[in-house]
Amino acid sequence: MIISRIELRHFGRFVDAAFDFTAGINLVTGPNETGKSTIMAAIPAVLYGLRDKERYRPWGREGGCSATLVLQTAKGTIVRIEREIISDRVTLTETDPQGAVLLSFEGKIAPLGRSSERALYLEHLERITGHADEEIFRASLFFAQGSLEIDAPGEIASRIKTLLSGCAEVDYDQVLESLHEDYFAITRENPWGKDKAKDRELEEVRNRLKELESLWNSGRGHFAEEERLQQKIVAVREELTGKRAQLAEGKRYLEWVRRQWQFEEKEVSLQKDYFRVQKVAGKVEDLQEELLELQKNLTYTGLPVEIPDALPQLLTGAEVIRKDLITLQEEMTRLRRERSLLGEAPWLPAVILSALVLIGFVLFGKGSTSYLALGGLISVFIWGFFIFRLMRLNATRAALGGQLDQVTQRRSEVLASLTEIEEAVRRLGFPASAVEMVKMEKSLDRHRSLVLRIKEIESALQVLDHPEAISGEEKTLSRKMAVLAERKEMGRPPRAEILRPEDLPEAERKLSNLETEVAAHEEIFLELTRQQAEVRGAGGIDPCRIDEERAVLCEREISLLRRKESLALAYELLRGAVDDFRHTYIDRFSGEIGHSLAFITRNRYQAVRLDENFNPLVQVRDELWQSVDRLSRGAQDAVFFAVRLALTRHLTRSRHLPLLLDDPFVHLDKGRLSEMLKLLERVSQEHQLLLFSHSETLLHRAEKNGWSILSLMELPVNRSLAASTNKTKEKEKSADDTNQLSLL
Amino acid sequence: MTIRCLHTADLHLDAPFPNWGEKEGVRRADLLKTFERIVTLAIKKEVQLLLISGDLFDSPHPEAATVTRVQTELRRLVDRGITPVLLPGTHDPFAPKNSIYRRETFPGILLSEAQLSEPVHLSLKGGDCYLYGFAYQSGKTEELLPSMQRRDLPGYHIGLLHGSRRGSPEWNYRHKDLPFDLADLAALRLDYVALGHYHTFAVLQDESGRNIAAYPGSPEGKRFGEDGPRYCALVTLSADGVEVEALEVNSRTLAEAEIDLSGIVTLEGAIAEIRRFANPDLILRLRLTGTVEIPLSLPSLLAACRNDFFWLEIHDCTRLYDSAYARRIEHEETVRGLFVRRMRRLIEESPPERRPVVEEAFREVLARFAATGGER
Repeated sequence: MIISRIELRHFGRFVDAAFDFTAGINLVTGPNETGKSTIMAAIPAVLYGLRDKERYRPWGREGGCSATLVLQTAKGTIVRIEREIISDRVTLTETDPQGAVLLSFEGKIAPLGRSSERALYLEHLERITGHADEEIFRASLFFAQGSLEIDAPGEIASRIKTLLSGCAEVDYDQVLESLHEDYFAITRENPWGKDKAKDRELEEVRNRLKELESLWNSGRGHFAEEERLQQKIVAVREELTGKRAQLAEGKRYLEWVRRQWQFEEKEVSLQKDYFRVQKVAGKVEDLQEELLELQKNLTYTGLPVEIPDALPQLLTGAEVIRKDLITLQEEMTRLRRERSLLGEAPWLPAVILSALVLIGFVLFGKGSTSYLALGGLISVFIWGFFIFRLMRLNATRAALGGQLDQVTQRRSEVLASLTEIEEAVRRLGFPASAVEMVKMEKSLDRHRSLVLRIKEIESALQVLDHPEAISGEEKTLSRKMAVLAERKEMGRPPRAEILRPEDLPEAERKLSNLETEVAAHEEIFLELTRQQAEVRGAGGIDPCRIDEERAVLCEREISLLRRKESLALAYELLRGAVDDFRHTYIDRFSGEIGHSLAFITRNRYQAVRLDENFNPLVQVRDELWQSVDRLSRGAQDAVFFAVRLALTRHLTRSRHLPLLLDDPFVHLDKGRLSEMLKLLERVSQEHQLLLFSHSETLLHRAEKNGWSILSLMELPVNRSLAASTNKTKEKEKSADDTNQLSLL
Repeated sequence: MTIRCLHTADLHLDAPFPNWGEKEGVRRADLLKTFERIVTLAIKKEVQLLLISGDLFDSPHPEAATVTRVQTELRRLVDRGITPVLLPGTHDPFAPKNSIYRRETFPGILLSEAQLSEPVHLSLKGGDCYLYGFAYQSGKTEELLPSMQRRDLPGYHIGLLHGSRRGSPEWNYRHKDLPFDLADLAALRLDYVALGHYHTFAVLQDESGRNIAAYPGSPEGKRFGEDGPRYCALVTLSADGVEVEALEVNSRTLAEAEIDLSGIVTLEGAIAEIRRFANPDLILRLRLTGTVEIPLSLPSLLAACRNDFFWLEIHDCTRLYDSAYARRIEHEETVRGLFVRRMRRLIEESPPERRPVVEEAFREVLARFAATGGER
């Protein structure tokens, strides 16, 4: 099969261009940036489409970007595939040499996807080209720059592996290696050999899980131990708190009791003082009261406190006189009464009596002069008595009168001396009335005693404190007592009975015992907390955190195990595929290489064998197989080219497809290049070659050997290239075609 | 009298995010930010109590800076008359000697008793409120629950409990610390039990349909599964019963998604599909499914998309072996062609449970062949 024509419309730098190719070698030449690679890229673009649709879309131009590929198959049919790059619309027509349409297909064929249209298209493509995958295209038909240059020992084997992998760049060894790497990042277990020395993530996770398990178990033990200690600590702490409180209370109580005692002592002395002061105060008060009373009484006496010395005498004198006066008065009264009692001489009785006697005797004597004389005698007798009486009465009266005069005389004298005294009293400034004087006289004694008493009291008060000072002291004392009482009440324990001093030693002993107990408990407490800290320090774990970490790690373990399994499986399957591939294809493939090698070396080398690692061994003589590294450079190039060729045929199911070579010998020296070109010319008998190069050497060679030359330099870039400058003669072309066809 | 509480739990401040690299610090800062948001919310909603039902910290010894921040925030509440109530949880237990709750004081009330003797009394808005709760101790569980039985006193009775409810969807995979039944909770006869430990928001009701308790869930998702919006609970207690409202508080969102990449033919196409979820705050676990037409290289995918997310995890569950791509190369007489043929045989022979492993192996190999070569 050959590519007979490529048409480009608005594709890259080409507006509307067509390039015709012939069988054999076609050299597309021109300096850089003239469109060589664009033409080359157009071929897979038409067949498989472009993922980057903008890449060859010309800038700012209207019109669809499209490319067409015309193929001439080995059967002689013409296949025309046209693709609109942007829309991926593809038209495929196959006509027989007579122009009859054998197949017409149209559809939207995106570079990737899974439409039935696409599947159908790829089916057609596979039928026509033997393959339907861009990667295979790149891996086989496409020879990139330098891809035919083998410079390092072993490079051929690695290239073979890449190509056999079906990829252009990654060989299965690299994939196997990366699977291996990823696998051993997970685990050290090696199902294919000796285990790795160092633990990997899975082992680390498992170790950590084990660690957590044991931590958890020991944590449980620690937990129980800690719990036991905690309970003990709580008990001891409670007891300790109780005992400490008791101790403190006891101490407080004793202190209180001692203070109470002191207070009491002080209280007693204060009370004593207070009573004393109070007594004094009472006394002073009494005295003062008495004093006031005395003073009041003193004023009642009407006498001044100080009395002139003469006064008492005067008053006494006046009193004596008054008494005399009274006596005299009484005398006078008695005399007067006596005088009045004397009365008149009893003449009326004497008359009556003498009359009665005369009448009686007259009557009794019936006129008898005897009787009248007797009567007259008796009357003379009566009258005699009467006269005696009268005379005696007068004498008495005269005596009494004399006495009375005497008494009167004396009274006047006494009155005169009284007046004198009154005068003297008046002179002293006192009222001199008789009443006042009697009163004064009477009060005199009382006054004296009062004054005496006052003096006594005053001197007593002088000896005693001043009442103000006393009341001040009293106040101070009572305040002190109040403060003391308050202090006594202060800090009184709730059920405080004051201890008797004799009980003190017993109480103190109890207290010191308690103190010892507290100290012992404190020690126990410290020891327990120390033990607990130790247990905690040893445990130092939190079961919840462990559970959580364990859950996370288990999850991780599961995912690692799964990945481990899938990577191991991937590795094994790929490994198996490689082995399988080797067993299935290696002999056939070796034969194909040998065949190609014989063809391109003109039977100089005829057989090639691939070892287990795809290192080619070349039969140089009978029974002598030589590693390709030991062959000449030219031979090595030939072997590799043969490998590429054999592989291409292998991958395209033995079709002889056109090969695209993008300056593959850039770095070869002249000798190697010359050899290579000879080799190419031989290959071109079986494959159409499109050789893209800007090498002058190649151009000379092309001109010399009559290759078909497409010189892009001469092409105006933006013009139609319908009439290409194909210098090859028609004849040659048809001859070559025939030749090629026959080979196909 | 009506009282309002904001109820949260399981913040896990200072939680480690192993393998998160530089994002670990950011994620820890997120947790603190969320805590601050909750505090601000408590102030805004004028609640009387902020109930924190355990696991405020991820460990009993968080970093000093974190503790200081928490203290500052709680002080902010106390200054406004809101009482924070803290209950140690399974992650931040009170029991260890060096527990942060022993070393530091926190504004508010700490329910640190290992065994509840008497509830804590509070006067709220002139009424009485009693708080019940005991600090979690590993190994001690059920027997303590009855100590939370309602005391016969007038007022509201609120319990805080860090434990696992039987019958919750989380029962099967979270630790069964302090297990209890809904019936156990109802038997306590408390007005409301503020639960913690399970990370999903759930309001629990008794047989008569009355709200009796709630799990607010983790306010910030810690692990995948705690996806989507995260909440704290605004609880209103009144004579009519208990109302529970979920308020969104999370800083970032965790999400798990699945993308069907069927028909995707290029790495760029797959990247574009993944980028449709792009969100710099999203923590995404992506499961790729479908039959792809190209061996996808996970490292390349991750490298391309990682920066579009806060965190991205990809689980490749795509199928490649029945792609047109695989069918095409299957016929090649190359190593990979042979590999595909062998693989196909193996997949067809494998029991269904082994298939994912085989398919993964398949993807691994083909992605490696394609990683540097072939695909241009």
